[in-house]
Amino acid sequence: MLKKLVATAVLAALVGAVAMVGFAAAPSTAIQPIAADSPCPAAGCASDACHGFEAVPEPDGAHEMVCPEAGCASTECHGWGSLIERYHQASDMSLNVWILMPVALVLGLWLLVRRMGRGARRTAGEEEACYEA
Amino acid sequence: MKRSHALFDIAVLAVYLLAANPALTGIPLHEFLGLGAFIMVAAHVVESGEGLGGRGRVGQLVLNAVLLLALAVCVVSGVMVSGTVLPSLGLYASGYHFWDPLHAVAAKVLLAALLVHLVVRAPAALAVLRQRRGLRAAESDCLMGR
Repeated sequence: MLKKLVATAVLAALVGAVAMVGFAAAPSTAIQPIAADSPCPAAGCASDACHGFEAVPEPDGAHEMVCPEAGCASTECHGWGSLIERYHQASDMSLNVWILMPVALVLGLWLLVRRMGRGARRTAGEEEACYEA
Repeated sequence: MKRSHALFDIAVLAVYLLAANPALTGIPLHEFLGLGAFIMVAAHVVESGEGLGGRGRVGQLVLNAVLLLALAVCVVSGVMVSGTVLPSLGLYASGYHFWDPLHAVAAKVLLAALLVHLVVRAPAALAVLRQRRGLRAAESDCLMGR
């Protein structure tokens, strides 16, 4: 029971520590209530007609995007591509699939070989029993 | 390990695998699945508290530390880049460009460490499941014999 309590405390402490270190490393980050003038967390845009994640506009000379590195706001931001292609989207079929696919393949083949081996052993055993009879 | 624990662990793994592939589920579902997976993994951690590490089990202790740290970073950064869960609570988080790369790295580390954890622990879980199946087969043989 004591170890379970320790495990719970360790997990909670780790989550708290990660949050504290993160907020210390990037002091500008915070969780806030959404208000009418809340800026877009990616682009820094505070338009009252938010286009949402699904319809990010092409660079149009009117919308600005705030660079997260330099703090520069421009209508010709060079990072616009990453907003359109990457923000709030799964990056790609990513490493997860590249790790999980081979693992699933190896496991599947291992199970298949095991099952076939067992089947072959059983058949051989039955034949032997027949001969003995 | 009890059979019910082994079955719960399989369910945790299934939910995690689903949550770990946002390209398949879409981001909004990924966010909710991720939170669900975290709660299930936390229950798994608490339930397995006895086996977190100890004397003579340095390797296990290190692996579990990596797993827990990666899990914590993944969850906190996941909440901070959330575009569905937070807004559904009337909240938003700034600092997307700080937390997003962190989330991607932590997720990869978590997956890699989890595969090692799986390879190490799966034999014990399979043995429990197999033992039970063997007992059941023996019981039915006895009944047939009567």
